[in-house]
Amino acid sequence: MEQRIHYREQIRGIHQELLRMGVLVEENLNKALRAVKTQNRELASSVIDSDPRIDAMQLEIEERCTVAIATEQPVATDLREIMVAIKIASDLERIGDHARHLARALDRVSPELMSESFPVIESMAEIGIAMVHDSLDAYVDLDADRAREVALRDQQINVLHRDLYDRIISAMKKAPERVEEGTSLVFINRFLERLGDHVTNICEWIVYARTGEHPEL
Amino acid sequence: MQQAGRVSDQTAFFLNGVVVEAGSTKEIFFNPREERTEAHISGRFG
Repeated sequence: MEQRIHYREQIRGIHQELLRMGVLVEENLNKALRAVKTQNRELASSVIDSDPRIDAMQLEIEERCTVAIATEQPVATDLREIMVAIKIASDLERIGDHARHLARALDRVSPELMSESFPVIESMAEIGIAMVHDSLDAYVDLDADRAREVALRDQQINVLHRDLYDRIISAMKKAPERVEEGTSLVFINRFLERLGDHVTNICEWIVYARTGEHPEL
Repeated sequence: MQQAGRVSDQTAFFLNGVVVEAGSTKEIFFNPREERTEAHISGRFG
């Protein structure tokens, strides 16, 4: 009964590559957070240096998807799965960029200013990292309910983002000489907020692959 | 199969003389409601 064995193998290969990419992105986020926490420049460099590997994985996934479309002409769920793999790879690549931005904070924000904001940054990053992890679990099973649940957590990141933004602005008002590093911190805050948005996109794509409907999560 | 998708506006899937599903070609090829339709257009049987 089961036909198109070659196609299913292609899809499995794409899934595996996407999961490998997700694991690397998650690992880089963890490392970047640890690097900022411990002011470890070597760890930060390892995050920055491995980003091209993530970019290369995205290209590899896109290439595999293109070949599968060209050779197998997938339709219905098969086609949506391929489209969604391309979209998720793109979101993971952007999340990888945000890990790199966080690692670069070591050179741009003084340890003093960072230590004031770090508890909020840590909370945002930890929620984001767990979201990345759980969204990939949802992807493996194309579990739309799980994806919806993961996306809901983005609201927690948004609340922390607004809170930290207010704190940074008020710190800059009190000490105008800190505007430069304060602005870097505003960007880091923004990148972590975007991280949550990208995971939400991934969740929306999982629901789409499963149902064929575009949800707004 | 691809030719049917290219040339038609409406598609019906018949199995053993019974209409399993009918609708716009876009719906049938992109998001069919019936599992048997999906299995057939995806080449898993027939």
